Formats: sequence, structure tokens, C-alpha cells
Amino acid sequence: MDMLSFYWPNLIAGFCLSLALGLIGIHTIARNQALDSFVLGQELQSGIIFSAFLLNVFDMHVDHGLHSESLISLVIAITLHLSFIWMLKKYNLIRLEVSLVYVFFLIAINNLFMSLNPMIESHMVNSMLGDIVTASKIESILISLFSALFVLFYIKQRKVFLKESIDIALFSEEKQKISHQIILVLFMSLSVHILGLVFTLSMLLMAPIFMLLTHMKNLNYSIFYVLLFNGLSVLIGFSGLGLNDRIPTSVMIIMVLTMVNLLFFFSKRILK
Amino acid sequence: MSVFELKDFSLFTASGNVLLKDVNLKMRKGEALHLVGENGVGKSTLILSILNKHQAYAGELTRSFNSYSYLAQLSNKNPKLPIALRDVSSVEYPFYPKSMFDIALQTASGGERKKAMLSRVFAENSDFMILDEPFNHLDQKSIVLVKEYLDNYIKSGRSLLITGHTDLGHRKEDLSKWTC
Repeated sequence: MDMLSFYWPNLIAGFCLSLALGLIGIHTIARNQALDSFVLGQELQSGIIFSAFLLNVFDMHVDHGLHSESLISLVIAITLHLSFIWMLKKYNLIRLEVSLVYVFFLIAINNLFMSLNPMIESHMVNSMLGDIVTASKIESILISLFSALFVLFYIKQRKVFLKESIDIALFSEEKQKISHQIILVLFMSLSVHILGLVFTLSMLLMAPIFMLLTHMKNLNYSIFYVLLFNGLSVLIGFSGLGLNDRIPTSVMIIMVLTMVNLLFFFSKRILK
Repeated sequence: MSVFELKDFSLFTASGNVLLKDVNLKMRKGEALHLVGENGVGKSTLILSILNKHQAYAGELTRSFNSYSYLAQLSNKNPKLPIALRDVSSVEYPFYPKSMFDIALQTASGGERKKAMLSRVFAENSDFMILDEPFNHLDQKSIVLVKEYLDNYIKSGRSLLITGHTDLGHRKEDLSKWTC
């Protein structure tokens, strides 16, 4: 209980963010952007490391989180992503191959910066496996508000999101909507900064992928289960902090998320 | 009153190749216009230009419509959406009965997806409807039912622009005569 009274803003932030990421994830998969989101995650991590490197070069040390570093890293990540989109336009037929080579290149660059300045290793670790308990109270409140507003906006605009996703999924003529790209970049950026790349991609993609595998009867069922599993995983995973405070909460949350989805998948198959 | 008019109109691909040259074509309100021509002649691209979704053209294009319903050609991509056909459309038509509503979109056949999309477009109930190859993937029984719907649509004084190889008995324009 002591833990909860201290960390309740962090818990609410993780809970709200998991719901928002789940909703965005359904439409990201529907619009064939799962691979793009994976690349974007890597670009965001590279942005964090490169901005930390730059700030260290100019003797402006900052902690990991939503600080001046965030804005610089976001600009770097968006620049990288625009270059990636330009490359895909030229080489769309080998989309997967281009994405893989690009991710390997970014990983190599990350390691180069880290070897040049070992002080930024903590930024690398945090941006990969962040921990919700390290978020400040203001960061937590901001994330909660931002995510809750998005969930409400989504509920109001649900039909518009769905129509766009169906058109992109079924008709080759339709282009990706810029509004979805902006939402994806904003929420992924927020989440990678605070909770790390692994948490972000898991919350974004895991439950929607399991919904695809189980052939849900309609969108309302899919949304219900994605929200339930993402939210439940945060609540259960967070309570794991009381068992062992050396394991990052994001690791516990992802373990629970995987277990819940696997249980759901196999129980559906057995019931069939 | 026209719906749209093309004067000395030339159409290009995104890479700059000429598809159609010196087209002069007018569609009147309340008319059904059937665009025909071989594969790749530029039927779908012309429709996209009329709808202002493809800008690679020269000449005069006058649009006199404000709203429209549009059914594009289905792609061959396998959709990844954890939804059922009822999420695409839950409006029943003789060719799209309620029994189809619970079929998962990702496991639905091309014909089932097409019926759901046609149902969505018909339900919009607009005064100008554009259907690009609406009969592809459909079985013979459904083709008859969709034709019946379209006949009633035209009789109600609304405008229909359609492409495809199924004869509808309306005014036909063969785009091949304008190819280079």
C-alpha cells in the first residue's frame, strides 16, 4: 500500500498510455504499418542517444526523460523517419529488406556513440527498457492527461478511424493518412522516452496481433480485449514491484501481457 | 447541366507516360456513363483525375459535383484488420444478407469483401456514384441483384459513372479511341 500511495501517478500514467497505444496499435496493423512502427521505435531510440551525445559534447548533462533532450531527440527521430519514408518511396518493392538494413545501421550508430562517450549508456538502457517508476510526478500527470484525452477522442471518432483503416487495407490507391502518422509519432515518442522501446512496441502490437490470430467477430470485441489485456498487464505487472524491486516494471508488465494473450489464444483454440 | 466535362484533356501516369490524349467527354446529370477499354488503358486513373485524386493531366477538366460515393478497385493485399464484415457495412441488401455480417474480414473472399463495400457505398445514398469494376469477384446471382439496384438508382434521376466489362445497356465510351 505504501508503494501505491507513492507511485499512484506513475501507475495511472502507465495504465492510460497502455490503452492509448493499444487503440493506435489496432489501426497501425490494419494500415500495414507494423514494420514502420518498429523502425520508428529504433529511430526514436537513436534520437535519444544522439541528443544525449550532443548535449554531453557541449557539457549540458541531462537526465533521461521529458527534458530539453526530448525535443532534440524528437527532431532527430522525425528527420530520420522522413529519410526512411523517402527511401521506401524509391525502393517500395524491397520494403522489408530496406527496413532491416536501416535498423541494423541505426543500431550500429547507437553503439558507435556509446563507445565514443560511455556516459550515455544509461540513456541507451532506459530508452530500451524504461521503468515507469522513474517517471516524475509531472511527467506521469502529462502522460495520463494526454493518453486519456486521446482515448476520449478515439471513442468520438471511432468510425472515421475505422473507415480510413478499411480503405487503406482494401484499396491500393489510398495513401496513409498524415493524422495517423502524427498520432503514432507523438505517442511512441512519449512512451519510448518514459517506458522504453520494448514496452512501447509490446503495448502497440502484441494484443492486436493476437486479436488477428483469433479472428474476432467484430471490432468492438477486438477493442475490448486489447484494452482489457493492456490495462490488466500494467496493473498486475506494476504490483510485481512489491515482489522484487530489482526487476524493471516494464519487464514484469510485458511478461504478464504475453501470458494473458497466450492464455486467451489457446483457450479460444481449445473452445473451438 | 453536366456532372463533369473534359476538353482537349490528356492523361499521364505518375512517371509521365501518356495514357490518353485529346479526350473530349461530357457527362450530364441523371445520366449513366459506362467507361470501357482494355486493361491498362487508363479507366481507373481517369476516374481518380475526375475525383481530384490524380493531378498528372493537361487540358480542361470541369467538375460540377459537390459530393459523391466512390468504390475503388479492391487490391490483392490481404487485409490485416481484427474486424468482421459488419464493421465495413451493417446495411443489408439482397446481395449482402445479414448472414454475412459476422464473417471475419481477413478470411472473407474477394466477393464477400466486394459485397460489403458495395453495401457501404450504396448506403451513402449520394446523387453521384462512381463504381470502378464493381462486378469483379461477384457471382452471377449477385451481378443480377447489383444491376437491379443500379437500374433503380438511375431511374431515380441520379448520376452513375461505372467501369468494367459487364454490359449494362447504358451510354458507353470506349477510352481506346483516345490512346496514343
